[in-house]
Amino acid sequence: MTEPDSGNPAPVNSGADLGIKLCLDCHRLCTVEDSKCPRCGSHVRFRKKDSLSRCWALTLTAAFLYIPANLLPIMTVSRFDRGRPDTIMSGVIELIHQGMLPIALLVFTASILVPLLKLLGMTWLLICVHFGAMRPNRQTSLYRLIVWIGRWSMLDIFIISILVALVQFGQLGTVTAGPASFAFAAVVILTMWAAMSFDPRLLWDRRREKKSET
Amino acid sequence: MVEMPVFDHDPEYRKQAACPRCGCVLESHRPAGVMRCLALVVTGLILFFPANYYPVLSMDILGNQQQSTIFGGVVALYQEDYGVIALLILLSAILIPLLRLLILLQVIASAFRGWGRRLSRKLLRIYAHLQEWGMLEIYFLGALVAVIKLADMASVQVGTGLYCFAGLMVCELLISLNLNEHEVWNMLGETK
Repeated sequence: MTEPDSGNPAPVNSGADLGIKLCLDCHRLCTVEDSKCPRCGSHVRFRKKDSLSRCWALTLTAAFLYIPANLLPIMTVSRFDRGRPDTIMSGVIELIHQGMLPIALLVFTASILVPLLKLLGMTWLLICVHFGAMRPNRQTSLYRLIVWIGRWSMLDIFIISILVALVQFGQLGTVTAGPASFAFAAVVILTMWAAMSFDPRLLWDRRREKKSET
Repeated sequence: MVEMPVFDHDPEYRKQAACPRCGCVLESHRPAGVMRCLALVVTGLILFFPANYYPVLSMDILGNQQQSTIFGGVVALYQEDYGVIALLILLSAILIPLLRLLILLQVIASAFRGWGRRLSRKLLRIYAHLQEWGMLEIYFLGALVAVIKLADMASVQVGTGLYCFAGLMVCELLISLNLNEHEVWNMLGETK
């Protein structure tokens, strides 16, 4: 361990100061000279490559796709040849009318709230990196939450696949998927990808730069 | 056979390491974790086949019965020209979970017996990257929501497939709790 040097305004608290890189695949410590991890062979860098531009691009694309995902019908339930296209929100309202409030809340959270909060959260983290993170502790927790919760938005896609396969009774009732499912699936995939390309260590880097400036 | 390790005098017994800055758990030591994972992987692989062969749900309207497996959902979406979505479900609910179990079987076998370590190091990397994309527990929740949604339209029965699927899901959850990847990486060693 290195003792903190009282005369140094920027204490050693990052692997880069010590010439150490972490392999993100197998978590082996590598030296500056290693461009590939000697254990697992993946590329090692001090920070993820083009993290910010990749993350911005993916988050913005997902944000645009979030609009058709919510406005277009995601599935159509037909009974006696009368079809009723449902958007995500009208499906939730339908569930409330049927008296299934807990399920309605679950679907609302997984399909509308989580993608929206993920988009806002990623944007917030990116802004924090650009303008200097004030509370990297909290923002790192937010990042971990976003990564963990992201997959759960796939819930609606799975429900649709089950309903489409199961409810095929001709005149008595059929369920077909709607065009919003493309957009919605893309939002889920893109936001997951955006979260993976973000490097939370950048938050700590920025705070350190700010501290050493003052 | 492999000998069961003894932990009574292991100073690392149930120790945890956390990042002093952000609090993220870096490593948690579990006794016989890798060994338990081997058992869970085998159990999971056995459950995988009935989970995909038997129908997940079946429903009844006025004497017409309809039932569906997980793959049935993929086929139905493909036939409606939603091929991309069908592929996504095929990957996240069927292929990736299976692939991860097979990878882990190979990795643990080679960690204990010493053969094919170069291949195992490659596979373990893939395993970590696929972690996010296997979505068993989400599919399971989706099936439960579908049951409740359909309950007022027709009588719905939960099939054998869903019970096996639940078991598979529990196996995967326990694997993620018991697998200490640092330990496995150390067991696989390095090429120099």
